[in-house]
Amino acid sequence: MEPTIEEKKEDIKALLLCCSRFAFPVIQQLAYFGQLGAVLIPDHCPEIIEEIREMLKATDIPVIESSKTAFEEKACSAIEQYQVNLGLVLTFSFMIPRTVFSLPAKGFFNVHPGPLPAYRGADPIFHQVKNREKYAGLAIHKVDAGADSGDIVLQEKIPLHTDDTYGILSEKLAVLAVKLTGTLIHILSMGFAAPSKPQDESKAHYYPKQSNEELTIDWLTQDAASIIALINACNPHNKGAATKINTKLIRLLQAENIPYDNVEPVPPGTILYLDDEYMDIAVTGGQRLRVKFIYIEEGFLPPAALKQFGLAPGIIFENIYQGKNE
Amino acid sequence: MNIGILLPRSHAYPLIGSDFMEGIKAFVRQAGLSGELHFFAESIGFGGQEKEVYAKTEKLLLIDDVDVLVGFIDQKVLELVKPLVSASGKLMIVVNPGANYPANWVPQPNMVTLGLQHAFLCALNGAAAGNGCDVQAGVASTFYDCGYLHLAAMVHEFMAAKGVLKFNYINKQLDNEVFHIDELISFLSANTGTKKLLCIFNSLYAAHFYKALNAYEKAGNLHLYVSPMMLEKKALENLETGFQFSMEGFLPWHQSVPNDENRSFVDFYQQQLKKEPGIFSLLGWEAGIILKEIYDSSNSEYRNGESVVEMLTTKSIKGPRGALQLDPETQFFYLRLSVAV
Repeated sequence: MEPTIEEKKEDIKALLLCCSRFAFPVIQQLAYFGQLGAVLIPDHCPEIIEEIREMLKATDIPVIESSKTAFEEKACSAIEQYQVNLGLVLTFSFMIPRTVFSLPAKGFFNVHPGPLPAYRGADPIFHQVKNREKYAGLAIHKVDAGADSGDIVLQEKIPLHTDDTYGILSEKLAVLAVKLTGTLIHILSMGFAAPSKPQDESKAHYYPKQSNEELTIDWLTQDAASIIALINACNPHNKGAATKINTKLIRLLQAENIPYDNVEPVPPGTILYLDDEYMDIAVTGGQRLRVKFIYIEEGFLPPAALKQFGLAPGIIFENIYQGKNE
Repeated sequence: MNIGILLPRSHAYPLIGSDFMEGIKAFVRQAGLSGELHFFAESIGFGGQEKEVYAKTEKLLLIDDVDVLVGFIDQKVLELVKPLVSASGKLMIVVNPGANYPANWVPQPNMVTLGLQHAFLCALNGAAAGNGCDVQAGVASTFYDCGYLHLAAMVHEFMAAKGVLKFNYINKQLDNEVFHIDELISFLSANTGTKKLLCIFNSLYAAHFYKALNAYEKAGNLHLYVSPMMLEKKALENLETGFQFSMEGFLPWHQSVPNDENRSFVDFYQQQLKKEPGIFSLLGWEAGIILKEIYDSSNSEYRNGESVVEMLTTKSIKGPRGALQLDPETQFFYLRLSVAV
């Protein structure tokens, strides 16, 4: 009997490169469907290596750790040894040489947690939240010699809510990554080449890794909405957006904008109210920020913990970087 | 302008593809555009054959190099061809009965969707069932229909009102088996307090269902909230002696809708084609109206899907169901018409 169209699916074995938890749902999906040949992780990510080994312990899927210098050799060797015909990247800290990305028969694809070409760079999740985008995106593109510059195969957007943190958005995009890699693999397993189109270079923007200054609050220039966006973009990976009083570094983890009803104007950064539940801070433009969680060296705490360090209404938060506050 | 069309097949509606195609061509003929709009049609079988759907889409976009693609395609299969359509940059008009929601409401920039809003109409009917004094109801549907979200929409709105769901009856029979609803009748006989039924059947099964339910001796106590396809002519055609039970539902369209565009549509079918138009003819006719708008208004830039979508969001296009308005957030054409029956 002539086999049906669906019976002719080709086997897929992927080498997956990753260095963050963003990859976990895709790893689980590929492992479940028997499509994961091996996982390769940079050796500077011991926690990720440990968690993925734990996740895959009931399988015989190898988890390979590699230094930057050994990466090319280990990747090529894994592709050959485990009959890999597809390469997938889900956040990875080494550049991938042509000798590696040209090897798998079905191609090598980067699952990028940001829309392209507008959000090239290492940490598009941070920048999408910080920039208060209405929609966040995820793109799958062919890996080439550039940084996030290969032809786009799949791209989709989801709503980005004003209270979405870096961690929450990362999880949402990780779920979207499962759907889109599933579609990609479905197309490839039917024997078709992945359809793609070049990125529009005129719309390309590359975000370098964020500086420490980008992770701090500028009380003079930032309004409540942009401070809240920064706080969300820094939660949890930077333990919040940074500010200070005297030499005490304080990170704000969660905040909301509430109507400002004070009659007398005060400098931005001034603590207006501090009790067991929350702390209100004056913000430029006559706005007020209500903070309910902070991080200090002593732990993740409610703002009331700051009372023991002498903080009280009237005290003013400072900009960490010179010239930003006074 | 060259237009590629993906046409479906269906066990329940054998003429679905030809009715739709005829609807497009009828409008084009009526609009005097037969020399300007050229069609390349491909059958995509029953939709589950994904490789065939993909291959036919690829052929239309790359080999036939059509300017615009119209796909009568369900949301689930649509996911598979999205990369092809996106890579082509051309406009795709997705049409379907609207019994499923998209997995993600944020649209691809070069796709628009025109549907019959079946899930929405079922939701309206569910809400109606959940109101009033008697709020108990049971579900009656088929294994096939449960593959769509119109049942979820109906039940969700029923329960969001104040409805209390007492049971789910899902008919699992195949086409070649003798249709019966014995389990449902047993339940109704033992639970005479449940007098409302939320029903979703395709037209073919609906005819069998009505007949079998009508034979139940206490059917006169029942009130049915039915899906749009259960109100189609085919579902009701075996009615010889009338139903004991009462029923209500919503239709996306009816021949009697009083506007000039609907009269023009119905007249064309009755006078030129010597037949009555159906719901899938309507969908084709409306797709034809949208294609005309693209042809007339896109300044020969109709191969650029994103700019066509942008143009369409600024238009209010008159059709048999009233104004076709493209929602910029979802790129679905929304229609305000719901015909209560």
